[in-house]
Amino acid sequence: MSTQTQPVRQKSPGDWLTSGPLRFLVSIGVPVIAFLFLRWSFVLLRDQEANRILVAFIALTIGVFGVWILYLLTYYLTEQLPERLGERVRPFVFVGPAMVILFIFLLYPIGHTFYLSLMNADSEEFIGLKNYRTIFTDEQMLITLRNNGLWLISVPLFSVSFGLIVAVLVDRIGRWESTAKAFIFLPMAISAVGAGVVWKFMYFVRAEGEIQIGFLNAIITKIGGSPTNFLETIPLNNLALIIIMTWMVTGYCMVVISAGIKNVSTEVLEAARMDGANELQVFFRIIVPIIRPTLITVGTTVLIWVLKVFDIVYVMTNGRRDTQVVANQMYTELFRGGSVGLGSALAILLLVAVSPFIVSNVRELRRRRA
Amino acid sequence: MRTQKTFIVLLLVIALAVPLFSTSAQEDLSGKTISVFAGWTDETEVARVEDGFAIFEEQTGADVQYTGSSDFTTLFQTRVQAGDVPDVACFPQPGLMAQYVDEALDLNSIMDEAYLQGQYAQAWLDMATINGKLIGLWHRVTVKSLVWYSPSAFATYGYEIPETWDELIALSDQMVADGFTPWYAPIESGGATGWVGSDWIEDILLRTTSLENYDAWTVPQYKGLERLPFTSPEVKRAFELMGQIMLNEDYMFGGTEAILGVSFFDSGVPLLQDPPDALLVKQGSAMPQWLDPNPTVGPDGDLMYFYFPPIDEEYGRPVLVAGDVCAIFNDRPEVREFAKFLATAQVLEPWVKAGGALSPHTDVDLDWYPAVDRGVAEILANATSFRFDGGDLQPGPVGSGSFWVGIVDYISGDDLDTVLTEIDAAWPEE
Amino acid sequence: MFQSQGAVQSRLRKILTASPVRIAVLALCLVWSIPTLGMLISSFRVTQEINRTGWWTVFSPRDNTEYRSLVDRVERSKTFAERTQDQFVAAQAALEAGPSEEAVSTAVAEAEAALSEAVSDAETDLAEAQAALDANEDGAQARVDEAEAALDAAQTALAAGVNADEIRAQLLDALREDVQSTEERATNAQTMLETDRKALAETDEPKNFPIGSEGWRRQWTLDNYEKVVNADRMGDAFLNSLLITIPSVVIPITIAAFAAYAFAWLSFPAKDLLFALVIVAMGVPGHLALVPILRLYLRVDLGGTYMGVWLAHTGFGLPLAIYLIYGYMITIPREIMESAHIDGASAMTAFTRLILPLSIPVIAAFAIFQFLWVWNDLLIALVFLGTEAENAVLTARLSELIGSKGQDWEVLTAGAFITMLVPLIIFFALQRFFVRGLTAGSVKG
Repeated sequence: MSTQTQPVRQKSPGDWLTSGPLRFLVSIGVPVIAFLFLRWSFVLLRDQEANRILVAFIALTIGVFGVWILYLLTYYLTEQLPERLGERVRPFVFVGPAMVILFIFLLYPIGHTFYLSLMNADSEEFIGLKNYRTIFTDEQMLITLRNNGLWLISVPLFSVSFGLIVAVLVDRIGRWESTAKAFIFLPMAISAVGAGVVWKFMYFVRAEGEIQIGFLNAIITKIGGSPTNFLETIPLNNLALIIIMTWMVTGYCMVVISAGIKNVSTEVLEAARMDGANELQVFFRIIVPIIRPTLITVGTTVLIWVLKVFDIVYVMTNGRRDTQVVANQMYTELFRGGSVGLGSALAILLLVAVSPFIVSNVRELRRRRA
Repeated sequence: MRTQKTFIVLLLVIALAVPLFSTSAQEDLSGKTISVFAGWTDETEVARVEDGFAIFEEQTGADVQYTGSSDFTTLFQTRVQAGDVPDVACFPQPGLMAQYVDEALDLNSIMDEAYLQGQYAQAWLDMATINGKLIGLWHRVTVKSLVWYSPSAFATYGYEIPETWDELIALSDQMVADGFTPWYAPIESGGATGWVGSDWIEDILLRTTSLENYDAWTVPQYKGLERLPFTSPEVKRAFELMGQIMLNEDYMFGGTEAILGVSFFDSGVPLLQDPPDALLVKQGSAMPQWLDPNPTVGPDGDLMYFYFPPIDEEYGRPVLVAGDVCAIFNDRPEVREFAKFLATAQVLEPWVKAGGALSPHTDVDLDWYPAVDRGVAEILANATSFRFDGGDLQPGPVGSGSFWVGIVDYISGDDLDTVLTEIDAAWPEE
Repeated sequence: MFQSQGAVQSRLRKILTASPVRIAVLALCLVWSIPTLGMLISSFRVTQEINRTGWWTVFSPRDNTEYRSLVDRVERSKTFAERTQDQFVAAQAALEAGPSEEAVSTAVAEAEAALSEAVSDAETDLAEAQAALDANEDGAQARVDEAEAALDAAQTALAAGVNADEIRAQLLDALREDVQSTEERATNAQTMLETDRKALAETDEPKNFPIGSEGWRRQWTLDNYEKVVNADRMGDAFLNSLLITIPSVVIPITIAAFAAYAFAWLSFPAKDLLFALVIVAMGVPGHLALVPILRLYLRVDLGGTYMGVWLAHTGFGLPLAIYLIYGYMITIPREIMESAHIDGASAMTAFTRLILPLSIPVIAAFAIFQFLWVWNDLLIALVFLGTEAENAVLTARLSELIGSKGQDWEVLTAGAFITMLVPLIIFFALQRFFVRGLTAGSVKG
């Protein structure tokens, strides 16, 4: 499939409307009439309980096509504006809706959270930065921060490397590519609770002499070792949890990197090979530089997930035996009857921890533009 | 063809406008609907609960809408903070309910004080009173102070039910002498690992110290007491007594590996083996329901229980209980009526009759209970005193946090004093 | 899945002779799937077996539970018989030796102490009765008389002292009783052992079931899946899940693609700042946003509507979508854009005709993940759509089946696998968009 490189100049759908007030009336009138009609019909649909499938169908149509029509309509409206103004406004047609949604759904809550982080446990008293001080002085919290450091280094390192290796390898095995990818991808499709069950079959431990139904302990006892409780033994338990996270996230890295590799044109690769480059050189000199932005993207997202991860820890150990991480601590404080203030402060801490990635990404953005 | 086109146009028009405008939720005008939100999700449990509510629906014609979620804690907090509170919420832990003492209605303001005192023993009302405000109506309760055994194994090997702690230890020693590892106490419960051990501590503490001390240990803030810390000699002794059994390699089948590594759902498994791998399991009245296939319970059945014996004579025969408690959040006439209904044993009648639930109400008919549950109900009725699961009462960071962690640490062999200090550290500052 | 021995061998040989790349891929895939394989196999196993033996043993199953139980019984009875015999012997020895002088004197001392305590108890009683008499209580005189008599008796007993011989005789009796009871237990244990041995001798040790045999098949079951599939309202839940998931995937992709295009190829004021906000937004834990959004929804009457859930998923998925699609769009060669510009295409045309088709691989990639997350999400649907039964999504129904405490592994394994199936289908369906040469073609053109 190849795309046309010479796009045909599109006829403006508004050409038939000559100009002026009529055009304006139409622009305003169509949505108003549509709204009134829709309000009436949607309420009607909601009332009829029997028509569940019909409701579903109309709802899906609206959800899927509605957004597109919205964009095209707004863009059409900007085309009706004077040339200069239209030129200025147009990028915001593209980026505006996204920013509005981001603001409502994510950025506004941050402000609220920051406010709460300066308050005490039940948000009734202003206590300034005391919660932040607690974070950096409490002994348990320091262990938590150490664990987060451990996660931040190992998970992205392992998962991006594995993902890259797999993506490059499967790119070359032909018709089994999808199947091979599916195996690596599979863990992503499992919820945290599911992952908990899956890894129970791996980590499960029984007393020495009993039949081990955990895979790893079965191997260990088979070769003469004594069974190990992976989840309660310090510091093995942290590694056990990190492995689960890596196992799940590698699929993501592989899929995105694989999409990036498809962007490396065959000609370039062929040319390099013709010039006598060996496969390792091709990999490091050609493939890696070209997909560098993808690698940064993948690395950043994994890092951010690692910061936010809590469900694996919550399900498996809930932070006991020195396995606590910031996000789980935050969840516990916020939703399990802890201190809302401390929980909020931890959330802000997580956001601050994201900032280095912001800097590096914005720099990358600027570099690209230059 | 033409209609099809019209339809497409219609869809497009709808598609165009809907994202712009929200659709309104249905206005509730009937005014006779009562919403109940709780954490029961298991299908049989939900059926029992709804059967109970159906009695009220039949009596009054009101519609009780029950919704449950396994994510109850998170969802309820979210809804309360957002201002979308159900009429009635039933909490798995009174400590959780206590967080919403400001939002919940004072029951004495919506029904007669004398009526409530007639429906519940004073101890129950006390346990649902937070900062002097009575907010909780007890629903299903369970008894924790039980030790499970296999009657056939006891008969085969010639053992007798112990009546005191010393007899229990003597029995354990006899079993060891006969070549058994008597006890089994797996506590693995994912993120909640440790709660089984906290039940041990609570049961032992009730038998070795005064009720006032127990209250001072669990809910000092509501009783105006000075907090009894975990580092106090009383609590420390309870840990040591638990350790006398849990940390004794001769006593504990599978040792610490099994305690920490095996799911508490499998507690009863070794009792049912032939020959049994272990002979004694301390667990609540719900234990048989975790086993698949469900064992028969009774003096001639697969499993039977005895009362976890008293330790220090002067503290009598106390019983540790756990249960669900409902609070009322909206004041409407139909909700008031429903609250009154919740205070009667009727709400639990179907569940009690089906087995697996005890009723805290005074007007419960003992004949409703199946034979097995009746025995447990009698243990509760004959108790010299009873108290609620301490971990469920203590503030979340301790009761379902550091306490459980401390149990795991202690069993893993950490120094007891350090463990106790760490548990205390999580107690929220005033 | 299970081929005959020969086929497996020839397949293996073929794989081994293939290129090292294939072997490496195969090894990685194998390692990655072991955990999942455990779950998959367990989901087809009989409940009791899941807890009894490791999932890998299904390949060479052996129904030896009964036999093993017999062996264990003999073992146990043997220990029990030995131990009880030991106890019997010890009791006999103790009887022969008789009660030691030390034991006797301790017992005597104890008995004496008990006697003097009885005296002091009687004295207290008498004093209380006297006090009652002084207070002119009814029947006090009778009490005093009684107490006096009791005190007399106690004092006589104390004066008479403790007879050491009597105590010795008592101790001897206790020892005798001990011998009797231990002997009884030992005999019982011996009988039990013999019965068990006989039972074991009469039973043959079972062999491994050959693959495909009756016993082998008994290890497998579809019950776990039946339990999940036949649960109430599963069809509704499935429909709800689809209804939520599809728009929740398409809407953010559309919005994000527009925004990513602007970030990658259009210039506008405050671009850096807005882009930084996108990355900040990625770091916002979803849990923080639940309360403010729900509050907002309640105010604008969006609570309990599909629209509300779609928008929430859109909000949570959007930052990553923008970021990912942007990251891909900027790798599109500049020449392509420039050529479009020269051709005089408008921004919208360049986007819909050129950039969007070129970005299909990353859009497909993101679609897969967003689908996964929305499909596996429990909380957002519960918070914004409500917990009513008719609104339940697949994950919610499943978590109800499993119960609030997470028991029933067999339901969990089967349920987890069923929920995995749909994302897996999506994954395979979208695989065809991961094709090479989209950009290559355009550059040449």
